[in-house]
Amino acid sequence: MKILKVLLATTVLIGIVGCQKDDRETLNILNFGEYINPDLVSKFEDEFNVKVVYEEVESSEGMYSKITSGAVDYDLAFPSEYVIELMKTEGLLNKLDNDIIVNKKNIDNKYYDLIEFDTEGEYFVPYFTGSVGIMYNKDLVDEKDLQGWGTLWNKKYENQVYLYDSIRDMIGIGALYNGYDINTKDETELKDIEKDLIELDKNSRGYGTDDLKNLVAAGDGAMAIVYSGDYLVTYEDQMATGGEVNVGYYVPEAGTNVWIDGIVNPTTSKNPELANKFINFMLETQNTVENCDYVGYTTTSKTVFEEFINSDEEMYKLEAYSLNDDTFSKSESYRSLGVEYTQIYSEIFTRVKNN
Amino acid sequence: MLYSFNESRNQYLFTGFTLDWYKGIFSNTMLIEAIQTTMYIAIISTVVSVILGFISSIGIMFLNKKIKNILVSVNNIPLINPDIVTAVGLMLLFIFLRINLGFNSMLIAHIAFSIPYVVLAILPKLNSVGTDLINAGMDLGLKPRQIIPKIILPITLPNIITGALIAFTMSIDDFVISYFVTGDGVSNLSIWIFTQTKKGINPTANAVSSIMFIIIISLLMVYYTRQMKREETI
Repeated sequence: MKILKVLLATTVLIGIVGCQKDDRETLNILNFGEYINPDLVSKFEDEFNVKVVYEEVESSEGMYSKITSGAVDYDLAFPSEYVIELMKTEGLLNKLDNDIIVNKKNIDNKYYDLIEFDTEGEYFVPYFTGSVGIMYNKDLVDEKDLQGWGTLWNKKYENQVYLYDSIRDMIGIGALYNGYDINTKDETELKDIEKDLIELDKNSRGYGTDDLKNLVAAGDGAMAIVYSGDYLVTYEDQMATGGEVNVGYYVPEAGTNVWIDGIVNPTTSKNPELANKFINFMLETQNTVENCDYVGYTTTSKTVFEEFINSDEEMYKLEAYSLNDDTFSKSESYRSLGVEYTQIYSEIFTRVKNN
Repeated sequence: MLYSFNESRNQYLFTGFTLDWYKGIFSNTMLIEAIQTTMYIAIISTVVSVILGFISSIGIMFLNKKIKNILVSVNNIPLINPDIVTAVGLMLLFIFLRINLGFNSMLIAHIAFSIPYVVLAILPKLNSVGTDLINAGMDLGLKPRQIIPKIILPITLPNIITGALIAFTMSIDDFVISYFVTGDGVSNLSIWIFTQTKKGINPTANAVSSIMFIIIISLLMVYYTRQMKREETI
């Protein structure tokens, strides 16, 4: 009889959990972890009397596969530029409604210009941005040695350089070092890149991703390839705990890779109108400021950026927060490579790591 | 665990003592929801899978040898099968059956992958006891409906507890299957930690892991001390 009681209790419990129905309109959002200020989501829910279902994934690729699996009808997603391009070419994106997104005027147009596949911004709105650069330990690196991407190849720092464990980022750096396009599909250029990366690989201390910032700050390794966001986290952390910053961020004047994450409205959306309203809501200056405070990456909003740069906060004046106009104009963003070249890139990187 | 008390986010430098990351757990609504989901799923799936596993073990025991062997092999498939295959299979099944991905689908998946472990824990004991005890009990005047509570349940109780513990830990531990069959904004603890990777793991994750570790260690201590006491009395 006891078993029966437990069984009954369980069914009732499942019943309760399963029946939490809500009459309000719902908005399904797919985003990365910690990539939006949760207060803004609740504020949107209250203001528009809707329910937001918020789901998190770990990468743009994860976002793409969740959307294409068709299991959930997502209304909004926040993928990186090359996945936006892929989704656009596969017809997975709805055009945005610029009559609703009136706050689009806040966005800095230079980000649209950087993205070659959608310069009018018909399909996406830039969300956050950042760059790739070299983070160095000020005690271990002489700042005079910071001379372009060749710094990484400098024999003086043999076994002192950490590399980024990502196919696109490493091949991108090989291309930048040679002055090639970071999305190059030229065979001889790719051969040069492979040769240089093999040399760099021998010169290096190892590969890593997020943990590199901590290694360089701790003095294990003189420099590392990092994302600007990694540097900003370390900078803020050191300011908060000791006030003395022992790491620097260097971007070669010849330009670098700039990434942009955008907000898109996939064709799975059941409620595109509400999705557009949400985008407009996020672009309101006050909301963007609150979101930037939480996320910490570089804003794509011109109005917010001007507010930041005129404030007393030193962080916003760093090159890690925003590249100077000259470097920015020479920088590029990733394009979707297509199946064939994704494979070729991946093979090159495998050979580089296994030589 | 040490670094969950570290003032700095840096995992290689210890700059000072703080409890901020522990406070951070309670102010993070996504995390709190993930912990709740993990616990609900673990408890409900354990209870359901133990009951279903117990019933099916009894059923399997009374079958003839040929069918029994086939069923035991079928039961072993999910144990050997890679998680990712089970995960994608279940996801496609849910989509095919038009079951909305979310809490319920995750629960069903957890029950499904827990049952084989429970059966595996209970069935060998039942087999070794065989039907003799049941026949003896009937001879001594037990009614058929008394057989399960009076004979089978007391004999297999330690195995049921083992099965329940395995099911519970498998459920808390699971990432791959949960990741594929979830939706509707539902995520468990392991999914939450995984989604942090884009921005770099937050030390709050260290704090949560430390708490989980301490809870599990103390549960095990309680379990072992009780068992030692029981052995002493015997």
